[in-house]
Amino acid sequence: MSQALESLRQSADQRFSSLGWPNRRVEAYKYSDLSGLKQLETADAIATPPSGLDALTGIDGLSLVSASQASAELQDKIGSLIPLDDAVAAYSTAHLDEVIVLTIARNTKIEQPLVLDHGRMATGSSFPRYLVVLEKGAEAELVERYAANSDGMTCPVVEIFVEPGAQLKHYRAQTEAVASTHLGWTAAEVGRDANYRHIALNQGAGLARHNIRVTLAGTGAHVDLLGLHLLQGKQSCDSHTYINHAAPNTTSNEVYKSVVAGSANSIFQGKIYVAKDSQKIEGNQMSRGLLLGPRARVNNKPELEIYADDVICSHGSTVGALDEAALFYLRARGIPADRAKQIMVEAFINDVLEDLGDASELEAHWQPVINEYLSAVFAGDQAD
Amino acid sequence: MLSIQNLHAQIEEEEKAILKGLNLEINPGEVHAIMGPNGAGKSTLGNVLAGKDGYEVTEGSVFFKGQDLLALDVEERAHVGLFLAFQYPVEIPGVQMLNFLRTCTNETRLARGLPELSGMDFLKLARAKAADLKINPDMLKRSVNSGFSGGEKKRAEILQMALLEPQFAVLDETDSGLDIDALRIVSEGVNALRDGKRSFLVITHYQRLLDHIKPDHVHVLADGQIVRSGGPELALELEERGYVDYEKAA
Ligand SMILES: Nc1ncnc2c1ncn2[C@@H]1O[C@H](COP(=O)(O)OP(=O)(O)O)[C@@H](O)[C@H]1O
Ligand SMILES: [Mg+2]
Repeated sequence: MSQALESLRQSADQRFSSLGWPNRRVEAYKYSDLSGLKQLETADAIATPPSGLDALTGIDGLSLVSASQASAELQDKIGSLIPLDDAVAAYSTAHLDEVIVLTIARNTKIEQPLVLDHGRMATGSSFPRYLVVLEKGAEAELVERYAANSDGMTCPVVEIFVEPGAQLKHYRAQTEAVASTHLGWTAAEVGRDANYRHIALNQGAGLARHNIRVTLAGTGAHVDLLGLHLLQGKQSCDSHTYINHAAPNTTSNEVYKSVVAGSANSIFQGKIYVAKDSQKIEGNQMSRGLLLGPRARVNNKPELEIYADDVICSHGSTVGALDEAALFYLRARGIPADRAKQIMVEAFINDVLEDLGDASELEAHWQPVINEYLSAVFAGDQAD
Repeated sequence: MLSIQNLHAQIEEEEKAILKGLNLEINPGEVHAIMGPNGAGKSTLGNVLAGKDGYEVTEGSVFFKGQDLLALDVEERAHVGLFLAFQYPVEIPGVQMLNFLRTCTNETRLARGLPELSGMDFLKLARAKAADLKINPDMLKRSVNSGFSGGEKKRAEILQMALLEPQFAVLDETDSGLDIDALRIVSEGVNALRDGKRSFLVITHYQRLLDHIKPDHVHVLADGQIVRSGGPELALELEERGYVDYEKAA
């Protein structure tokens, strides 16, 4: 590891030692208590290279190297977008080992999705870490999948630079076993007239926390953050998003939808921050929760922090059960109750999915997860 | 076909009695009209027949083709051939009309032991029935009832009825909000299904619907009971005199 990365790792280690796992008194973790998590011995950390990286070699315009082979300029970007005062960021960075650096060359459009596929078959912790750079005018589609099937922890960190005029579509699916704990970070800096679209499916892990931090750094930058929580049993899933309109004329659009069965707990905290000199901003946020049982919970907390005056920002948040009148209507037309509920849930999540267009990732990987979730939830009444 | 005896029903939460000993016999092929003042319990009767939650039957019985209707689930009632055209059809954003129609048609066919229709066959059928009702095919691509005008909603109800081919249909104020042309189209849709075996219970305020859908019997429902029955001439009389005689002396 380079000197610079080693010193980053060490300072993160120190940070985490003083922070520890946050309990509910830490505002940002008010609804998801991590204080029960253990700190792992380094020996527990297991290296889990993503499968399918081979498929990414030999693509024109794509460079894939480990950090040690990357330029000093690229190495400097590692760790620059995540704040170490967040315990999860500090913990992950304290275990920094291999960093994979993907660079998409200037004005190159890569058709093939860049797939980073993470199963974790063994107990222990894994710390996948990526730096993704789309140079000016580049276009790509990034796919992350987390599907650990054992207990343990997955703590991925992905830092993304979308340079001026570049466009990135980013699909992130977390479908880990409930025995697993998932603590993830996604951070992106979006340059002038660049476009970043992040779509997250959170269906797995007993305890999940996903931090997203997007900085709209150049005029005309746009971000879409779309997310789904599909929860059941005793799962807890927390999406914590922060959009910083750091430049004028930037726009953001955020939609999070949670479907919550059993006694699961869905948390969405979304902050839109508009700096003093960031005029002509438009930021829209919507979070909606659908409760499928009396013990299911949704905590949605939208936040606006605005220091500029020429700004259009909106946020809305709703939580409710399935519409009884609509269910009766469907059943009165001969559609069995469970099927009717399923149709209603599909309708609820539709506007997130419709935005995905004809992405092959959706067809091949998300739809089966969604279908499985729906049949699990509606196959008779859940125990809890 | 349908035999309602001494039906008492109340709103579950408020324990407020709405139907207070209602009797009605409908034979195959007959059209019955129920008229009555607002709040008499007409929609409640439709809802209780269809099995809506929130109503409790405290006394009496309903037999449909010899079967205890009240023992069936909502969807089972549809499967055995009951249809309720809603007074206020429900808007369901995000559920496409065409998908909805195909799902209910095929679920009902399966329950009746008929093979499902393929996507193509169904599309042809739905388009043809929609055309009969002068429904713009674009409407089938929209969400169920969402943003439909009053008249569009009522036509969509009749389209569903035409696809589900019930044995017995309750039309709850299907004429309200329709202009003369729409009223004629909807009535033709209903009359096209009159085959001498199917029966209808037409709930309406206005005689004008009954000019198009000729009833065999007309009943006045007031304060939860049928207080008067007669032939089509009763509707004409009500048209002239209004419901003043039947309004509850509160
Ligand atoms: N779900 C309900 N909750 C409370 N009251 C109801 C409900 N449904 C009907 N009612 C009451 O029952 C009475 C009959 O209503 P309804 O059957 O809709 O009358 P109609 O269709 O004849 O106008 C009215 O007083 C109405 O307010
Ligand atoms: Mg009514």
